[in-house]
Amino acid sequence: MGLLSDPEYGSVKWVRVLKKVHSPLCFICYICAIGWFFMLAHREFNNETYFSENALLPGLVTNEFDAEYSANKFYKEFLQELEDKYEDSDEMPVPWLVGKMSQLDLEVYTHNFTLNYPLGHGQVYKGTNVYGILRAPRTSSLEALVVTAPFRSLSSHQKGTAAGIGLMLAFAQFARPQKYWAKDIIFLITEHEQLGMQAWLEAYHGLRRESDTFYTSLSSFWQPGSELFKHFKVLEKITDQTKCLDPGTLKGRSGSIQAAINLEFHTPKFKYIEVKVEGLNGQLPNLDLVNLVHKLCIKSNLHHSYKNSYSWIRTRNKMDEWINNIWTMLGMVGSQIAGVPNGNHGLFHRFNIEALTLEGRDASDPGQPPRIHSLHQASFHRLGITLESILRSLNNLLERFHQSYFFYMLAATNRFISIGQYMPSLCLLCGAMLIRALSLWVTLQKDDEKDVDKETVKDENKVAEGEKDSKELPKELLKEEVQEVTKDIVQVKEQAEKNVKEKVELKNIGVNGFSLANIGGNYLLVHLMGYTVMNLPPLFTYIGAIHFSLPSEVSVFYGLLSSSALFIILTPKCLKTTSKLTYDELTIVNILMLIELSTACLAIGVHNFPLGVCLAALYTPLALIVGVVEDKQGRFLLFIKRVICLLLQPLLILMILMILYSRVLFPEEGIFMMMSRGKDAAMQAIMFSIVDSMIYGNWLFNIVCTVILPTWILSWQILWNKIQI
Amino acid sequence: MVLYCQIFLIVSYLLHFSLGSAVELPEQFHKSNHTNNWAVLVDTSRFWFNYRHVANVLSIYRSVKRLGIPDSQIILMISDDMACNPRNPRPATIFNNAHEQINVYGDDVEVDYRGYEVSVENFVRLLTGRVPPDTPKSKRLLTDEGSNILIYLTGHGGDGFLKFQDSEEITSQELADALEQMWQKRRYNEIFFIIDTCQASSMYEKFYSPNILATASSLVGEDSLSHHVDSAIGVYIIDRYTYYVLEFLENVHPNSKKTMSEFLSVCPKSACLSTVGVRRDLFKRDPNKVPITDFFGSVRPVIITTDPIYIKHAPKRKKTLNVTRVPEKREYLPQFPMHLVKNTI
Repeated sequence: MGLLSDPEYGSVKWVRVLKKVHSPLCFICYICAIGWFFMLAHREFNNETYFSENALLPGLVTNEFDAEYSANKFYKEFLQELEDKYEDSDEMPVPWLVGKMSQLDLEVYTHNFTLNYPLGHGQVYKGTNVYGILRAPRTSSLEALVVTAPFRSLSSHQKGTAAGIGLMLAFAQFARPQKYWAKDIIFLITEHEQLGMQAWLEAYHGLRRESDTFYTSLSSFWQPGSELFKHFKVLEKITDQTKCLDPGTLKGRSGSIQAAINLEFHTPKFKYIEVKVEGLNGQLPNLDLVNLVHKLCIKSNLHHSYKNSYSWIRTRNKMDEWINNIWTMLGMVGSQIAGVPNGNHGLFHRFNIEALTLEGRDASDPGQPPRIHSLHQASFHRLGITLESILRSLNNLLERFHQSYFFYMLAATNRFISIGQYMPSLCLLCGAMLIRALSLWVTLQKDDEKDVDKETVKDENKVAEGEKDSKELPKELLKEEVQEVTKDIVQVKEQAEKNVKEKVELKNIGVNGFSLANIGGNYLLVHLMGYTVMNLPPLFTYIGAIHFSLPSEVSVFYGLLSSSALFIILTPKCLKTTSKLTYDELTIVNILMLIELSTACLAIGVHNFPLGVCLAALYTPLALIVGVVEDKQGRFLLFIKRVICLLLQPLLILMILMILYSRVLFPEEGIFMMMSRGKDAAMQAIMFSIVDSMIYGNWLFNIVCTVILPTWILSWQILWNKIQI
Repeated sequence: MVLYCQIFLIVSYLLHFSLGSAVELPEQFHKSNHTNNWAVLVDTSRFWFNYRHVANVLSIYRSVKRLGIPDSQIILMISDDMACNPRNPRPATIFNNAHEQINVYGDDVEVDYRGYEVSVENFVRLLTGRVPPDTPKSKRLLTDEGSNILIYLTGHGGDGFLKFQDSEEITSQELADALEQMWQKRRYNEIFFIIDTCQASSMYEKFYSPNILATASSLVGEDSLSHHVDSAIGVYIIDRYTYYVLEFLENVHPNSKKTMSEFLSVCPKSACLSTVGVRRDLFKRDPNKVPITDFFGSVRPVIITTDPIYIKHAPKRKKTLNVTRVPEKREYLPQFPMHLVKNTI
């Protein structure tokens, strides 16, 4: 701090250099960051995957799985059962599953859960999970592995999972008499997709809906129904979401879960397996587990893929490989940004359980990999031996996965990028913002006698400088500085003892002064706005339902839209309080905005790199072009800046992205159709992110409301406040 | 007392006479002056994926025992119970080969230190003899100045240390000092030191006590590798060096004439994939002339006599056994020892 507050440092060489080069430097940083990110996909910049955990002993054991016949039988019987009795209902055939599992000598239990839908009109959803525990014969039930499959009814729009359930039952039949299990195996079939999984996991780990520790124990970003609203009786009813998911209780438990495999096989005769890893808030399973699955797929002669990387396509052309890897990386980024798990495995991660999903894919599925028609089909035998070898490897584990990477990106099924390799890209982006902040700071700290740039126009502002530094500078220094400027401040010198008091007076007079109250108050207010927006959706739903009888996503969408419009119109006025704004004040606002945005992006990026890097890549240009507007500035340039800023408003950018996305999906449609599709998609996206945030603890909505929206408002304020010189 | 002395003199005279003139003994027998053989066999690593280390040490145990060192003179230290590991698909057995012909954890294995008893402290105390007074005999190395000791270590090592269990390690200096202490306390005559770990030769480089012959499965900077996988059990089943040592020892009998130098060249680099290290400078004899049984076999005290022995009362075998045995009546002891209490009343 000594360096930054030294009054003579304006003449130091690096300061002069920084003042000159900061804008090209920021630009170079930005370009380098983007370049770095794409270079990571190249073979020279990423690494071959390897096993860190010795205990896994992958694939050493001979496969003994011989229950192919029973897998087929279970599969057909299950489908038959669904067609016979559950043709037109979405219910799960609980008695059938319980019966089959009991016949296999598993300890079978059912688990009921209830969801009080947080944004509806008191809708209540109920569901049932079925699970059977295979107890390890020669050890106590201290550890467990989970094999799970979501139940999907025949009428579901998603692919079924009947083959997965059939395989699971057949595997249970095969595994039951084996004597080498050192961990229990829980065979779990969940209802209502992720909801059932979340409820089961919460119940398994003893979380109660009433408990206060519910959210804090999960290190959730935000506790819904916060203290703020407790004082208003009406609001309390609306904002009380603590009880939205009642996980119920489990009748039977096993030990601590070490790993979980989720199966999504609609038929045994698919072409290849897609290994899905992305979890809640972009969390990933340990790299060892991912490697294990890929390696054992190879060993069992099963085709497997990750995003754009297919095991049966290995090009020798470096350029093709690079482009392929870039697409794989971007695919991973795309699925991590939203923070929504792309399979039931994603909910395990927050409980420190490594999990992933194996999804069976066909030629008809999206992606359309090349040469797919020439691939041989999978079969229950191949799937069975793959599952067997995965579970036997996991059975060898002595402790939780802890050796390999938890933070990584995959460039192919067998190439990875570690956190140390990808972080520089994000650091460069945030570095650009910080360099900009530093350069603004040094322009603020001029010393006119030694200032080489001789920016005499802004000399008066030195008072403000003195003011701002009052806490850091020795009083004498401050006095000297102040003395040289105006006559008003001569008094300050005379009354050195009452220095502080004087300054408060000075501030209140506000002659070209610097008002901390104004800046700080505005800063606080802006964040309060963000926080309020975060808590508003239940109120929007309530109002929408009572007065306009609108569905909740529509009312939330329009509610957010109107509050955005309100912010766009009103917030620029917030800064103008009693006096005219000064250059320094606005610069301080700008610096605060830059620091907040870069810190937030870095912090987010440590946990969820794709989200952090995308926010940074999107908002760094905005943060760099935003600057204090002076009267003489060109109108056209200002207009462009304002348009860019407006387009980057979180809600608007979401709608723009959704419109573009629907353009990509349905290129034949007209512009208005496209717009309405985009609007609907944005509506759905907002609704999903709010509900995810309430039920599962997804951060995205909260981050956007409490960090991105306030920083955006700050930049909007800066661009709309001209200063007179 | 005088009588005893006379008898002793006569016996020794007779012995000398008989050894000197009557029987021709091979040359080697004169050279070693040890009077007993001991073996310390240590597996330092635990966990299922280190199955091979337990198999290593049990295989050596088996060979040593076959060659004549009794269980009372073998200290066997095993860190983990692989036989009862729940992951073992062949419960209560340990094999050292994928053919699974020999269960090295058979009927007759005496493990002296097991589980977490295998620690650096216990190992050093065992070697130096500074054990707590209540230590049972089976956990003591009761050697003397006439003892030849075979020390075999296996586990995970690095440059200058050997890892014990999952938390501690012994350094080469500590081991060298322990051996020096043994020498000063006259606890050995000669030591043959075998170690099968990664960078194994670093462990004997610091030795400075006399009469030690040392060999290691790999040089510094090299890894010792496993030999093969038993895919039925799903583990690496034995290490390369020990595998070839066993192959060699299988052809050794208590009477064989094989020498230590043959043992030292048992695993060429083509088979081991690591270079076997040997340290001879502390050992006074020529390994070419030292029979392998000096360390792997056992000294059996034999008195050779040329005088005929007259057995006066040869027991006569009864031809018929007409005596009908009355079955002995057996009963359980009373749960409370009332028969003892009665007397006091």
